[in-house]
Amino acid sequence: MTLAIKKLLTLVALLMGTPALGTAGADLFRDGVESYEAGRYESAAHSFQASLDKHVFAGTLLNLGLAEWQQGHTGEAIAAWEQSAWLNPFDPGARINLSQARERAGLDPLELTRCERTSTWLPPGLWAGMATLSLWLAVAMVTLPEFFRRRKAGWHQTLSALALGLFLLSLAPNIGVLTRANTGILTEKNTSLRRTPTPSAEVVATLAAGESCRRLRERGDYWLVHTRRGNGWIERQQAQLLRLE
Amino acid sequence: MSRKSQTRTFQSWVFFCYLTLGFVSWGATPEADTVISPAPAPVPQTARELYNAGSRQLQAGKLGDAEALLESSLDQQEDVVQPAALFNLGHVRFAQGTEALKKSPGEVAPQSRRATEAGDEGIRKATEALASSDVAQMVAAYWTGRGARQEMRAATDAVRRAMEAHGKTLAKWRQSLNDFRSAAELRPSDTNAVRNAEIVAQAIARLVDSMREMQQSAAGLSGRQTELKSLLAQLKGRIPGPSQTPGAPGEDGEEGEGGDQPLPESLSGLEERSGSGGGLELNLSPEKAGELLNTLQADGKPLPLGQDGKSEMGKPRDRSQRVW
Repeated sequence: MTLAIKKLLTLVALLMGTPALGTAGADLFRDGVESYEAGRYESAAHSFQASLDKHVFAGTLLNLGLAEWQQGHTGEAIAAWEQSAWLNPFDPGARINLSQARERAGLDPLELTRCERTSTWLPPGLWAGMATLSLWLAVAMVTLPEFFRRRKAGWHQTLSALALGLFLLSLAPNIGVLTRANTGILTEKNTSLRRTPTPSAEVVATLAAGESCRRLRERGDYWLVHTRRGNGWIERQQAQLLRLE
Repeated sequence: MSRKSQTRTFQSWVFFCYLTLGFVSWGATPEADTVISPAPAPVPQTARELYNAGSRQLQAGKLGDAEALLESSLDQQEDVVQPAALFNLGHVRFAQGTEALKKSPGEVAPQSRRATEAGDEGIRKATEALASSDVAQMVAAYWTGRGARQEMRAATDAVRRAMEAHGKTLAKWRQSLNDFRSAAELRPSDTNAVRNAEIVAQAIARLVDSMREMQQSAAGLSGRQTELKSLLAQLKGRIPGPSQTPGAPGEDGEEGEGGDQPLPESLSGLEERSGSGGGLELNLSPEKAGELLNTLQADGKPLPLGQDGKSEMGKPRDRSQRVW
């Protein structure tokens, strides 16, 4: 399926079920869609971005990615689709777009650990909710019968064990969510990977827009990142993290 | 226990100790003859160890090793060590640039000037001879022109080699400048780094001036060579057969362009040229050299020009920082 067809399907789907953006956000979103359909991709990207400033939705990010891609902004497009997939992993649109865009640009997909790969199965909020609920359920099943002076039944024990098991299982994905939050996408073309966090630093490698990086730490306006080409410093505005801040 | 027996016990213990020491020393004596190899020096691992090792190599004059160690120290990304490592790396790279400059063929300006004068003389004589149509004058002008061309080729080759050496130096000094600037950016209180950056910038400006001069002289030589070549070809065409100089077709460098096959008697001339560097054309075109010069500063700011050129090139002060 080509990007164009997917783009139209996405737009139609989003127009049919426009989420509750609020009046201003919805207007901006509609402006974005109209601009996109009229071929004014820059204006569309601005509108989608303004809509995101009001409310963040996976669909808006998906459309923003399309508008950026049409302008030749590979890095911004991949970052938007990654953010869309971060918010809503069930939508295959972002994933298909990502794989096609990376294939065309000759880029490798994100390097994820096992925990991080598991964390992509569900939205991050769901993993956190699952951990919280299961923990409290396990605690409740152990303590509440005694609190209400009732005899502990077998199902109490079973439910407590199941909840505890669920809690333990959700720990790894939650760790994955935390570590994946430091993953980013380079948005600037020919980003210089510097040896030191200074403007005059020696450039150890040049990275293409859309390449992934992992933030290790910060210093001033620079991030120390791990990339496929090694570790080095980039300017903060040269990359976007997957987790929207 | 009586006092006497106590004394005897004490003496026994003293005797035992002496005996033990004696055995130990006797046992140790043969071992002393064997050469004990010193423990291998620990491989530097941390940023601080790498920095110290790099600084020691810098003091020992091993610039390549020092550069590698200091770069590894920087790659460890330890905030405390980075400014000092950058400072010393600036010294290392400046010294490397200076070393590259020493390998340059020396002062090429006088040689270039002499070659230019000889070329002018050759052109003048060839023009006059062509105008006069006197065979003897044409033969004499031809020989003068050939000599001038050879001199210009040698000068062009010297300029080319000097430009290459200067280019290497320029690259190293630019790195050195960035290292000192980075050190100053990381630790703004480091006035030594700021001062060294200024000195390196001045040295680069002088180097660029000298490269510009070389570039201009190379361009002048190239133009004269082309003109003289054309005049010599005309002279050769007008000199009658018996006056033709032996090996002439092969020694003017025209065999490739004229399409004439070299005659057996001209092969010695070809061999001689191939041994001395082929066609002796300037590999670095004026445009390319201009590009090289224009890429001097990434920020696009012009370097301070107008240095007198006679004063001794400045060297960064405070050779290296302390070893921790």
